[in-house]
Amino acid sequence: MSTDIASDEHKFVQFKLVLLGESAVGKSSIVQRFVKDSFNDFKESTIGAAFLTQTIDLDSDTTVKFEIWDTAGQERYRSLASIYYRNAQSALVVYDITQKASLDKAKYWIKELQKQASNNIVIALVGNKTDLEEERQIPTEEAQAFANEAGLLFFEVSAKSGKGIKECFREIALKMPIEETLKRRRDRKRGTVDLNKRPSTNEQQCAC
Amino acid sequence: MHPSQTDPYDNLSISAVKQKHKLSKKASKMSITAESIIPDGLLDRQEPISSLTAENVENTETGFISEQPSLYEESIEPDNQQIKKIKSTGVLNTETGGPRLEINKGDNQTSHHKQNISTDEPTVTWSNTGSHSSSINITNSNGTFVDSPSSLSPYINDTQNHTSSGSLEQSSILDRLSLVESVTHTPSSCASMAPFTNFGFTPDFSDHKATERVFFSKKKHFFILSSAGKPIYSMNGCDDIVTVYAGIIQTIVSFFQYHPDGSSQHIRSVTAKDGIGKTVKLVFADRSPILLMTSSSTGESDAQLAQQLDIIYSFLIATLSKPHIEKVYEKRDNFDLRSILGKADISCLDAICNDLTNFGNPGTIVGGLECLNIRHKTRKKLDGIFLKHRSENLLYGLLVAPNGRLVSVLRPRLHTLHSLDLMLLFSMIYDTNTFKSTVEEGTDHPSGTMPLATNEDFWVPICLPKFNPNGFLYAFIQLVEMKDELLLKLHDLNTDVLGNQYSYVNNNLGKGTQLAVILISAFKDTFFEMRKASHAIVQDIKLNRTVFRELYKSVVGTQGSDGTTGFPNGRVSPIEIPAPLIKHFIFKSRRYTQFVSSNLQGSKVEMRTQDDIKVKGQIMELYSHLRSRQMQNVSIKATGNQVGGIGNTLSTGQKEKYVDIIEWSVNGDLVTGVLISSPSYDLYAISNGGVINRASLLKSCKRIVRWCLDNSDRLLIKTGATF
Repeated sequence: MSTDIASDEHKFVQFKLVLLGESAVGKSSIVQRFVKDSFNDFKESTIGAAFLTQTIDLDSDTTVKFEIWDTAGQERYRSLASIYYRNAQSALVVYDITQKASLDKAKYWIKELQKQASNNIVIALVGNKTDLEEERQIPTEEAQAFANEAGLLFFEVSAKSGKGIKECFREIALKMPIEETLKRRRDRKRGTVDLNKRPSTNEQQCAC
Repeated sequence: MHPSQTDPYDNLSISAVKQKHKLSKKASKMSITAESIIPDGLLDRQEPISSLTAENVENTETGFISEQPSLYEESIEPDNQQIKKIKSTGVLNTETGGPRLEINKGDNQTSHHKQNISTDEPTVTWSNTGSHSSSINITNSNGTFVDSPSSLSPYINDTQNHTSSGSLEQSSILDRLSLVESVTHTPSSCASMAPFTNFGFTPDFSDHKATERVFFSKKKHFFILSSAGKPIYSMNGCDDIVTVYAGIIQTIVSFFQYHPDGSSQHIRSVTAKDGIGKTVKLVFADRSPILLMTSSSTGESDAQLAQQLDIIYSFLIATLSKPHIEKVYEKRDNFDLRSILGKADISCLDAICNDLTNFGNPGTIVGGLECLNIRHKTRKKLDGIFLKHRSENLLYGLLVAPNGRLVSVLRPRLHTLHSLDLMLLFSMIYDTNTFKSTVEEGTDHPSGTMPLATNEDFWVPICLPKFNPNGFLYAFIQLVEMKDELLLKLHDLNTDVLGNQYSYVNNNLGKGTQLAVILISAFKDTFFEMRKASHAIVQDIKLNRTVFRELYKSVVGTQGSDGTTGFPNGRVSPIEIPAPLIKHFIFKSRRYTQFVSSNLQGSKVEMRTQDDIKVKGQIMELYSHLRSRQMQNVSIKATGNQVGGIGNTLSTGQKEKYVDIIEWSVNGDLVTGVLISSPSYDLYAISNGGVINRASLLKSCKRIVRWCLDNSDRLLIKTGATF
C-alpha cells in the first residue's frame, strides 16, 4: 500500500463516508449494492452500525477507497450518529421517494451535518427506490431544488435494480479532495524521509 | 365477528377470574406410573464421581458465567430454604417404584377443541406484593376464595391440587405418547442403534398474519404490552386480534392489581383444562411499565414459563435499556413502543419465541451456555492471543463458534458474565439478518441460511440486562469464515469441502461455519481501538496452524479421503464415551453454568438431521419435561405436602441427588428419559429403540458423568483469560 501512496503513477486515497437517513429508506441496501452488487428484499433494520470498505477506480491511475459507515436509521440510535460522521469527508443522506416524511428527516440530517460535521464535508442527497416510480410521493424537481439551494449533490437511485448507484458513488469520489490529500501525504512523507536521510548533518549543525 | 366474542381464551380467562364458568365433565381415566428408583451405585462414596461432587459442593467459588437467581427468584427461591431443611433432616426415600398418578382426561371430544377449552379446575394464583406473601386458590367449582397458609410460594398451589393440575404437566407429551406402567425389562444390547423414534413433534412458528382460526391453533403465545394495554409485540396474530387481547390481558392484570380496599395483588398464572384433557396455562409477568403474558399448551410448568417471560423481557431491556423504556412511558403512558422497535428486533423476538415454543435452545431449558469442545491447550493458546491484543478500553472479549458455542472468553478478574446476557447477544447476531451477507442475485437463499457477513465490522450498542440494565455497552463484532480457500491451503486442510454441496458442512443445519469475535467496550467511541484489536486477534488465529486446525476440526469438521464424511468433532457421541445405551445427553455443570450437548448417536442421516428443528425439538421437549417434573418435585417437597412419586430426592449427608426415569411408549417403541441431578451437575439423557435394563442404563449415565468430569477442561471454560 505504501508503494501505491509513494508512487506518482498510481494514486491511492482513502476517504470516510457515512450514510444517514430515516429507518427503512434503504441505506444498507444501497451499501450492499455498491459493495457486493447484491440485493436482499427482506433486509431487516440495521442494529447499531456496520463498517465496510469499497474501492472505485476513477481512472487508470487513481483509486479511491471508501470506508463506509452504514448507520441504523432508527430514532433510538440517533445519539450515536455523531461518532460516525465526526471525521467523515462525505455523507450520503438517503430518503425514500415513496415516503414524504423521509425527506423531512433527510433535511434534519443535512442541517445537523452542516452544523456539526467538518466544514468541507461533501453531502449528497439521495432519493432511493426509483423502481417504485408509481408510488412516488416526492417529485424529483422538489428534491433537486432543495439540494441546489443547500449546495448538495443530488441523485435518484434504486438499490433494488442497481440503477444510479455506481454513478452516485463515483460522483462523490470525484468531489473528494484527492490532490490535496496526496499532497499533504507527500509533504508529510518527505518530512520523515528528510529527517531519516540526513541525520548526521543536522546533528552536526545542532551540536555546533 | 369480534374476536373477543368468540375466543375461547377470553371465556377462559374471564371465567377463571370471575368464577362464573361451570363445567360438567365426563372424565375418563388414564393411568400413569412415574417410576423412580435409587440408582445402583450412584451414591457410593468411594466412587470418583461422588468424591468429585463433594469437592465441587464444598468449593464455593463459581465459574465466570452466572445464571442469576432472579431468573428463578419468583418460583424456586422461596423453595430453596425449604430444600435446605429437607437436606438437614436427611430425607432418604427408599421407595422403589413410584406411586401411581391419575390423570383425568375428559372424553367429550369434539372436532373443534377450541370451543372446549373450559375451566375444568382453573387455578388462579397470585401473591401479595407486601412483605408477607400469601397465596390464594380460586376454584370455580364452589366459587369461593380459599386462603391457604401464608409464607408459601404461590406456585405451591399447583402442587396442592397435585392430581389435577400437577399431573397435567404431562398432557402435551401424553397427547402423543403413553407412559409405560411398569418397567420390568430385559437388557437389549442394540437399543441405541435403532433410529431415533419419531413421536410426532411438530414445530410451530410465529405468525403475524394469523387469522383467528390460526391464532387459536397455536401451541404457544407470547405477548408484550404496556401497562396501559397497548400492544408491543405478539408472537402470533394480526393487528386486530393482538389489539383486543392486549386489552383483555391488561384488564385481567389490573382486576387483581387494584382492590377496593386499596391492597394490591399480582396475578401469576391461570391453569385450565379443556374438554379433551389439554391443559392451557396462562402465566403473567408484571414489569411495569411492561406487562408480559404467555399462553402455553406445551406442558411446561409455571416456573418454566415465568422464566421464559423473563427472557423475553430481558430482550426488550437488551435493545432499549431500562431507563429508556421508563422514560418514554413517563412522558406518555399510552406511548406506542412499537414505533421504536425495528424489523430486526421483531425478528429477534420471533426467533426467541420460536425457540421457546419448539424447545430449540437447550440453554433456556437446562439453563446455561454451551462451549465448543476443543483441546485444553488450544483454548489456553486462544486465551493467550486475546490477552496479547487486549486494549485499554476492552471490557469483555468473546470468541464464539456457530450455534452460540463459546470458545474463549477474556474478562476482568472480578467480572463474570451472565448466561442470559450472552444468549441475547448471540440471538441478536444469529437470528437477525443485520449480520448476514446479502447473496448474489438469482440464488435462492431462504433467509435462515444466509451466511454471516465476513467483510463487514459491526458496532452494536447493547444493554446486558443482568450485567447492568441501566446502561449500554458497545459490542464490536467481526465474523470470520473458516472455509476460506487460502486458509485451507495454508494449513493443509482438504479444500474439497469448498465445492462439495453434499457434505455435512454444506448441509449444515446448524448456523454456518463462521467464528464470531466479539469485543465489548463501555465506551461508544472506541470502535477503531476494538477493530484494531479484533483484526490482530483474527490474524493470529488464522495464522497459528495448531489453533486454526483445531478450531476447524471442531467447527467445520475434517473430511475423510472420500470427501463424504465431515463431521465436526465439536460434539461427542455417546458411543465414544462409551455409553452405548444412551442416544443423546446433555450434561450441565451447575458450577460453571455451562452444558455439554452430545451428538445424536446413530446413523449418518441422524447425525445430519440432529440440528433439524424437529429432531432437536423432540429431544429437548423430553428434557424440558424432565426439568419441569424436577421443579415440581422441589415444590412438593417444599410444601411438605408429599404427593410423591415424581423422582426421589436422595440425601446422604450433605450430598443430595435427584433421579428421575420416565418411559414413554411410542407405537410400541420405548423412549426412556433420565434426569440425574446433584448440587454440582445435571445429566439429561435419553435412550430408545427397545427395552432397557435399568441398572445398565444408570451405569451408562454414570460413565457419561465421569467422562464429562474427567474431560471438563476441554468441555467447559473454567476461568477464561482474565486480566
